[in-house]
Amino acid sequence: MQIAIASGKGGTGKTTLAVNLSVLLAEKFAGSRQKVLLIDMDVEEPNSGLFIKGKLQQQEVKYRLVPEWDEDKCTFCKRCANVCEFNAIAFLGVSVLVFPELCHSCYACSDLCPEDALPMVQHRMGETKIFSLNNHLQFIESRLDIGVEQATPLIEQTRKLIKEQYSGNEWFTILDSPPGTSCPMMEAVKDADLVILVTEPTPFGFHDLKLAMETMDELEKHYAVVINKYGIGNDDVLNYCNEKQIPIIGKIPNLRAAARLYSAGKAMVDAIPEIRVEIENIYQQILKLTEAET
Amino acid sequence: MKILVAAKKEGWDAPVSERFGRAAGFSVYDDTTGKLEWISNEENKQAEHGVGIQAAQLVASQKANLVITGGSFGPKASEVIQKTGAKMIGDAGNISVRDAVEKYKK
Repeated sequence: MQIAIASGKGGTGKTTLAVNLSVLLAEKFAGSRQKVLLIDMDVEEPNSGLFIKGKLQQQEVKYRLVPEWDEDKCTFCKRCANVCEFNAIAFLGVSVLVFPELCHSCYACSDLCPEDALPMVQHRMGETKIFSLNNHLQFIESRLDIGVEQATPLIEQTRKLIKEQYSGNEWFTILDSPPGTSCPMMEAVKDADLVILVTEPTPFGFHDLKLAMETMDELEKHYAVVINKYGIGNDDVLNYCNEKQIPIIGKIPNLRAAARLYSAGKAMVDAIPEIRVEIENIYQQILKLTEAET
Repeated sequence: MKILVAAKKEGWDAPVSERFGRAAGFSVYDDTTGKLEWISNEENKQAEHGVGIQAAQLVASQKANLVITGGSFGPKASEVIQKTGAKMIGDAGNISVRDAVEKYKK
């Protein structure tokens, strides 16, 4: 089972929900064979690790492939610069410059070069770390190196790692997705059985929630909504979801105590009973929705 | 000698653009003919990324010796222009293409 926690707007509570759901489930799974895998897919600014501190088990440098110009083979036909959709190649008549930060690793220049003068070579982009917290909770964090502009390749590699190594049915996988509705978010939720869109009941939250819903529709993803900071703002999100018959599977109350724990980097499920009840309820709703699906 | 000036419009009297990669176009002055040629940048400047690189390729294809902008050059444009060996003049200020060419041609 794989659940992705996403949002349009940033700062709505993806990490809060991902972390607290993970902690709660790890407690519930004690004594069973079930395990929680939490993955921070927001590789540009991973922050789940601020709340989840485990023992580092594995650390791996991640690479992607970008073309490297071979001066000796080049016949200066300019095809590479012409086919590059991302302006990552500068053709200067007597030399070719590659800008790895603009390259999307699409291979067009490399494959279409008649002289084979742009072989793809490994280029470091970040690191993936695997932590173990206890017998029932593992945490994976992928982090882009400073200055690396393309988030999607690292998210894709992380997604494949999960698919290859954590697809057993003992795993309940929770993805903390990047915010927004662009490529990184779409890549992060690709394998999810259910996407939970976290929003806040404000005009900004509502606006970006609609964008996120459109994105899910486009991807043909099964999704539900959680309203965080419930109690502020207005009822627009509530009314809209009811009207569109989109399930709202949780309303996490806006509490000062929650903000205080968040700022101290602590989970809330063990400290705030109201939030524990709500997160437990969200879990039950997830089970219902995914059962109905299969 | 060829001078490439980032400009807001075509012609001698147009103001120099403070942006390089996203300039409206480039006026290229050739001192062997004394003529000014306009190269529009309308299509390229709409791109999300790499506009500086695209514009800087013009410096190479035009074989310009001197490049002028009213503001500054982006890091990627600078890298490409440096490779071409052309001299870069930034912060030329809010002057016309004519004044820029007059001021910087030797």
